[in-house]
Amino acid sequence: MATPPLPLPSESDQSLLERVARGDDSALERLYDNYSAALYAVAYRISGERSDAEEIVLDSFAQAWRDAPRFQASRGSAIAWLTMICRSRALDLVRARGRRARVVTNAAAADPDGFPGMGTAEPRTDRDVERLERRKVVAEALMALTPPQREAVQLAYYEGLSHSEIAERLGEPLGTVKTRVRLAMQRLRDSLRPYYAGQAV
Amino acid sequence: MSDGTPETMRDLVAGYSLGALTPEEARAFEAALAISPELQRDLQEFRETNALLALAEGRTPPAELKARLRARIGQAKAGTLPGRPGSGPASDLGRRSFTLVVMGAGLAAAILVAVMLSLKVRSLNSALGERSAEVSRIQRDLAAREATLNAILEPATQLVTMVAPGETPPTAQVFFDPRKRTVIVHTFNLRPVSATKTYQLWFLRKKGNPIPSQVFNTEADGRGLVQAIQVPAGEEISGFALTIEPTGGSPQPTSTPFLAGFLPGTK
Repeated sequence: MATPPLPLPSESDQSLLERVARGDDSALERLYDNYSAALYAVAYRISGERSDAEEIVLDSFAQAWRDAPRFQASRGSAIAWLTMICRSRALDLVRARGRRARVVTNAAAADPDGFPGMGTAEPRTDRDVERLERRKVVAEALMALTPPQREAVQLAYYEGLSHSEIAERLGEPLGTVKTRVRLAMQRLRDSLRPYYAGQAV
Repeated sequence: MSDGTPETMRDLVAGYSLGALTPEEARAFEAALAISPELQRDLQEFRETNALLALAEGRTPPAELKARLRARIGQAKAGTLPGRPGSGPASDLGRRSFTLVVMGAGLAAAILVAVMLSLKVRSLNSALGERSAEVSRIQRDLAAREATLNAILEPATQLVTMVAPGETPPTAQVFFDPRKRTVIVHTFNLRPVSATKTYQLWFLRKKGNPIPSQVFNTEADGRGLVQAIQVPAGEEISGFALTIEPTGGSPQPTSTPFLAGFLPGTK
């Protein structure tokens, strides 16, 4: 069945990355302004430590600085690319330190449903308002999943567990876990598709 | 899955985007991804979804972090920033270890197939004595299988094992002789397709569209053996994929590859 093409990443992101590729550090700062909060949030959630999250964000933007010439807009948006870099770095750090179990404990204590609190800070700017609204949409999409689906996605996304590791952790058959992750991600994709790409948060 | 044949690569996209696949699944998926616009699009969507999930948490970085980034980039411009992550010895070691594991698995599989074919050769020898009317046919069969055996045992022959997910997964072993530029395909657990369809082998290139190759079907028990498939002259291939196509085959894939794999050292 034919489906409409994905929206292209915004011109500004694409041109910012082109400028970064040419060595323009002011363009990198613009990207930082747009996306550092999202990257910091995911880095903090995965690492569980503020100082680690800061280093992960710095490393992620430093990598973007080096790898910008290889960014291909046809393969996705700047934020998708940056999130992939950041999440990968955060998971590598946690694995290297063997800290995974403690992160789970902390996260579970802070948020029994696994996924998100809605944040407590009052919005101060239009960007803050937009970010809060977007976060609300994401939270609603996550809460629309069944608890087992949410848990499976959480383990994969925030802990970097493979299907078989999730199955072992939950004591569930591997096939069940694979199906659960796939269906959960498909539901999230369908809910979040209108909010894809190119919009600064 | 309309006729009960495998079509499972799309099932792997979400797991791949999260990094939840086994290394073998990930390699197979990447090979299929290289020639499937449908998979590329699916993956793009899941990566956008993953990016939005980052917003689920409400955190704000400290204000001074931007100044630290500015300093870090200043260092990079001055050429004093450390080298790219992932380029160090540990990463190289991991890659080498993975390569060794793949080579080891490939060698074991090649030996297994060699033993199986050797047993088959012995069985055919016995049949020659008992059924004189079939002697010539069996001799031809024997010669072909010996040629297969020799090809598989060639030191330079490379093996690509392609396995789909599942409990009794469709599997294909592709033996590639880079000197003669010939390929042997051995399948198992691959259910035969209906009369209006066929399995088709594709040669993957590092860049550009896949090259159409042999069409074939399998036996009722899911086994198949296709020999002496010639790789077109002048083409540098990086891997293989199997799709289901209309009878007679297609010049370009019309369905998502359900099995795919790269040659060692090409990915």
